[in-house]
Amino acid sequence: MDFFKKLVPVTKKTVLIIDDEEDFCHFVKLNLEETKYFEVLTAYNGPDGIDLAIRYQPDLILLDIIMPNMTGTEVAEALRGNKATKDIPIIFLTAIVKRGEVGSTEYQFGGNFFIFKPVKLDELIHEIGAKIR
Amino acid sequence: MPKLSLRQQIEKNGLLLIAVMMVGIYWAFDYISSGHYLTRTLIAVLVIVYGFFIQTLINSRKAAIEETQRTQKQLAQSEKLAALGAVAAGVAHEVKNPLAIIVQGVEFLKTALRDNARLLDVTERIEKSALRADNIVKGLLSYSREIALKMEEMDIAPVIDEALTFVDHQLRQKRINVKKQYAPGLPKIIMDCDQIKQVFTNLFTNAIEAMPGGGILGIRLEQAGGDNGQASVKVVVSDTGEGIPEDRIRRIFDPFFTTKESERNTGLGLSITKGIIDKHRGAIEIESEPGRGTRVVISLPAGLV
Ligand SMILES: Nc1ncnc2c1ncn2[C@@H]1O[C@H](COP(=O)(O)OP(=O)(O)O)[C@@H](O)[C@H]1O
Ligand SMILES: [Mg+2]
Repeated sequence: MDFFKKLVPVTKKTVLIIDDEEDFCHFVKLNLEETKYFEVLTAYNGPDGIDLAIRYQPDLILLDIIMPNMTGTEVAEALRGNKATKDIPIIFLTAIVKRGEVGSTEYQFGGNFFIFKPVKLDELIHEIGAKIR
Repeated sequence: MPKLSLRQQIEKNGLLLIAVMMVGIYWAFDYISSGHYLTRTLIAVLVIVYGFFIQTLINSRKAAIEETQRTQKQLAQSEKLAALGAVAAGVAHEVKNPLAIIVQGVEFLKTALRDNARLLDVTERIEKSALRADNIVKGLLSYSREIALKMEEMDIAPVIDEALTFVDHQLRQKRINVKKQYAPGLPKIIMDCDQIKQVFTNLFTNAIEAMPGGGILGIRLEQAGGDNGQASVKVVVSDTGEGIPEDRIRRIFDPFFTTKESERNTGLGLSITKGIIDKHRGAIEIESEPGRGTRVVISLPAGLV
């Protein structure tokens, strides 16, 4: 949190959250924007999320894994494969992670960090801070 | 070796007994017809050897059958756990998402209500309950083979201390003193710290429940050399509670095995604990002296798994 306190609100960071749970997106947006250090974009499915990512170039993406139609893994692949979005850090924010989906070191998910739902706000902000820094 | 009753003695050595009796009967008849002394002895020895072999055969067969029964039971046990894990994995996603919404919603309310102590207290209790529900799901998930652990390399001492804060209230309520002995310079462990925290919360809770009238909860941390030279960290959690009788100690890792009346005690604590330790390629052992206390020894391999 301290890191963000030093910032002037003008340099607000943009976070994009992609999750099919609309209420979850809504509450995370409320919470992060309440801190005054973030601006939050929300998308309720993979394709919309990718569009927003390309259009707004967020500083970080919070990505659910289990979503209908396009999974978070596929979204991450698409983002990595696109020049415009390939360097945006991704945090998987998900209820469960299957064994087969994780990389060799187990806590990395295709080179990306993951956080389990439910997550407390301070932990979420801490992890976002660690990634954006 | 446990003392056998006369009946068990006869059951165990029945054929040998028959052999001896046969010899006796033979001897008696033979005595009457007065054969050669050496012949009589030879026949007697042969009959006894015969009885001895048969008995040994039967005993080893019995042992083999018991062994297969035991492995079958273990297999059934692990299948039961795997089934539980599979159900948990299926349900987890559906339960954790609404819980995540509750937690985020409550976090917002907490900020909004920060000037109203009464309402803030309510929101905090709601959040705590949601996290408790999540903990139960997490516990069941530890049985699942398909769920990934979130492995990170870290020191174990702070994780244990955090688990200790979860039971702080009960420790004070029951006047239990905590005696910590942490060796310095311990190697880091690669672990899922949420799960390891759960292990120690379970162990501390059991220790506390075994000492309703107070006592000492001991936590010792030391380095130990594992097999093939790999270092490991050994954690000993001890209590001065009621202890566990010999016949019960074999069943304490069974899921749903509990000797406690309270509805909070599901009998899953130690079986979840064992599942987590197994997943970390560690070992867990329990020693107990009824009436004096219990020691749980856990070792976790250091460094890369
Ligand atoms: N430290 C201990 N001292 C005495 N008994 C214990 C201890 N730890 C476990 N037990 C015994 O093992 C049983 C199973 O423990 P556990 O799996 O944690 O389930 P629960 O605590 O819900 O009963 C307990 O009911 C108790 O009889
Ligand atoms: Mg217990």
